[in-house]
Formats: sequence, C-alpha cells, structure tokens
Amino acid sequence: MNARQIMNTTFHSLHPDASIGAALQVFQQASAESGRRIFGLMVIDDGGHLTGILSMSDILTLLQPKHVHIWGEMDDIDISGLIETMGRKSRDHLVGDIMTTEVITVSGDAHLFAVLELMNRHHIRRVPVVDDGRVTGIVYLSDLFFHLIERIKHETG
Amino acid sequence: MKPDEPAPIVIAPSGAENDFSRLLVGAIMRRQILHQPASSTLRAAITLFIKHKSDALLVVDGGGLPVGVVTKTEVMAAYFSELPLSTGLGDIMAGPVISCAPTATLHDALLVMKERHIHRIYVIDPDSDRAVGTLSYPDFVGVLYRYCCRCEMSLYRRRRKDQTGGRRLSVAEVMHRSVISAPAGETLEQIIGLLASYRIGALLLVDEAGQPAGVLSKTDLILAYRREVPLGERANTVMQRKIRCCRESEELEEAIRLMIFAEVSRLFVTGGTDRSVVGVLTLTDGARARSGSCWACTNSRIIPKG
Repeated sequence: MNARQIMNTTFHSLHPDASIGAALQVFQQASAESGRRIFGLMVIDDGGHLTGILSMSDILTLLQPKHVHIWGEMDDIDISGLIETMGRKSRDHLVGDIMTTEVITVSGDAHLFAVLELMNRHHIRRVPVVDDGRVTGIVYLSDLFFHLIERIKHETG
Repeated sequence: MKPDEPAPIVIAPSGAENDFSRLLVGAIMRRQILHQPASSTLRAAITLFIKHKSDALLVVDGGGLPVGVVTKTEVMAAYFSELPLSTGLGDIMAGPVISCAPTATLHDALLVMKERHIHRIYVIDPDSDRAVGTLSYPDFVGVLYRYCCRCEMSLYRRRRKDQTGGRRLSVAEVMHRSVISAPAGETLEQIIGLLASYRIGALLLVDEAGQPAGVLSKTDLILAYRREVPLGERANTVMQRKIRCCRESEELEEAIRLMIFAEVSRLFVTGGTDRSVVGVLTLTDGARARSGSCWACTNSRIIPKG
C-alpha cells in the first residue's frame, strides 16, 4: 500500500499572496466541505508548485500580541478588545509572510510505512504528495491509521 | 508561569540586599528559544521574525550548540548589501553568542546587556553548553513591574489602598525629547543607513513641508526585503502611514495601553496647539518608569545607573 492509495486528491489550497483573512475563510470552508477540522493548508503558487504549508500553529503564533509578557504583569491596564484588535491586524499579513516553507513531502509511490516513519520523525500529522514537481494529494495521519486498522483488524482479532 | 503567580525565589550565592536582586536568571528566563541551523536561509529567518514578532534568533550548529545570533540588524545589513534571500544564516550571523548562566543574578545579566549594548541575552547551561533560555529587556521589565506591585513602597499599591489615588505619571515626564526624522522621499537604502547610524528601530518620516507622513521600522524593512522590494524604492511606498501618537499630557498607563494594542515599541508624542511631534516614548522606558523608579529600587542598584 502506498501514499497514492490513501491520499486525499480533493483538497483546498492557498496562494502565497492571499491575505491571512482570506486564508481563515478557506480553513472554515475546507473544514465544512471535508467534514473534518482542517489544521493545515498547502500553499501553491501560480505554477502549481508547493511553496509552503500554513498551519493552525502559524496563525496562532501571529495572533499572539507582541507585548503579552509585559501587559501580563500590568493588571491596572485595560486590555478589553485586544482579541478583536489582534484579529484585525493579522488579516493584513500575507500567507507567504508566515507560512512554513520547509515542507516534508512524499511521492505517490512511497510505502505507507515510509510515510508513517516520516510523520513520526518530524511530528507532523499531514504530508503533501508531490509527483513531477506538482502536488497530487495529501495524506492525513488519521486516514493512514484507519487504512491500517482496516488491513490488520483480522490479524488482531 | 501564569501572570498572577509569584515568581519562584531562588537565593543567589552572593550578597543580596532585597528580594528582587536575589532572583536568578533561570527563574524568569523565557524557555522558548527561536533557533535555526546555520544552513537555514535569510528568507526563513525573516518568516520567523514576522510570525513570532521577535527581533532575534539563535543560530546553532549540527549538534544543537549555539554558534551565533541573527537579529534584525544583521538582516538590515544583508538587505543593504543586496544579499540573496537564499543566503545562509551562518554567513551573516554575529558571534560569539553573549550569554550568562542560569545561576547568574538578574542584576549581573542586566549589567552585561548594558555593557555590550544588547537587548537580549541567551542563557547557556555551563554543563552542556546548550542554550536553555533567553532574557530580553521586556521580560525583565515585566518581572520588575510584578515585584513593584507587591512592594510596600510602590505607588501602585498605595493607589489601590487609597481610593483618592496618587499622582499619576504623564507621558511628558518619561518621554525622550529628541526625535530623529528623515524625508519620506529617501530611498530604503538611505533609511537603512540612518537606522544603523542612530542605532534605532524606527524613523519618523516627514513630507516636503516637514509634516509627519509616516513611520518606517526595521520590521517594515525586513518585510520589504522578504517581498524583494528594491533598495532604490522610496520610503513612502513601504512606510506605515498611520503614525502611532499620544499627547504629552496623556497618562502613562494610557500610552502603554496604546502600544500594547498597536504592537509597537514606541509612540511619537505630540504637544502644543499645533500638535507637532515633540518627543518619543518607548514601551521599556514607560514600563520602567512605572516600577523600579522609587528609592528602594534605585538604592539597591536593581537598575544600573545611567
């Protein structure tokens, strides 16, 4: 069994020049359409090449106020409305400004256990599948798990 | 540690005269260290600076040992030299890493930072030679403020006890009165040169009539670099047009709140009937003025003189 057999071939992606505000809408849309909560989206340029991944962690890091370690000590300062303000400020950034550019990928021919080993080694829950320089799908750790248990359920019963 | 929890007190081995100076670096340092291998690129470093809103990252070798530091200053120099974004961090980093041990006192760490003109010190475990934390001026200011809130001598505490309130500091009492500005028509190359000459993080830009037109910071410039804006581009195409200001008569608390919301480290201060810019207020100066300025702190030499 290889990556091609378990990957999702329908996936949402982002453009590096898209705003974070637009990216947040794609996260919600992708989650609604796929029936699962999407925590990471591939970033693909005009040439169809994978240039990065934008994850929940990237966005949460950007949302965190710069001076939190100072105002956390100042309980006499009114910070009501700070969450909304951070949201407005974050919307102006571009996906390409904060995406993770060093992306682990696999080819469609990669064996399921080779994919699993990569995911475990790098602590990642999704891995893009790239063939001939173009993204053909994405493998989620949860899909890999359910494919595996389907294959081995008779052995473990 | 939660903000409302008291910092753990660790007794320093040498002569301490007050609770604050008995604190060790290891008790308040930030354990999350932004780091990258020397083979990583300028492009990756800028992405980390933007995303983490940080000013520095530690460069480590293949074994994870610290070999240098890259700050926005090094990135500015790379932009000025028109280095490609694929340049390795090992080629632009500053070194050796200025550090202290987790067992150093805050006072000693502050003295090193002051003498070496740095805003951040890395904490290195002498047994493993690995970085275990980092301490920057804002971290220090936050802890200082927490201690002062608990201090019997603090104005803050007296105000809370006395509902009539004590006299609050105004921006005018804390701000710097010298404002460095440049024409908004200057090139990015010229602005980078000015920032380096004055050792400052941002410049007020003025129009042909000498009126404030915008602000250009190192953060704006590294983002321009990341987006491959040519050095010959005019500053007014990249600058922030919204100038974060406060009145010199404003209470200091309100000015700090404005900086927190705007995520800036400085406000330009306006005064007079024409609301011209008369000074600059930094977050660190503002926070420090609210805390370690009483006789108890200064006499115990928590804040290095000068």
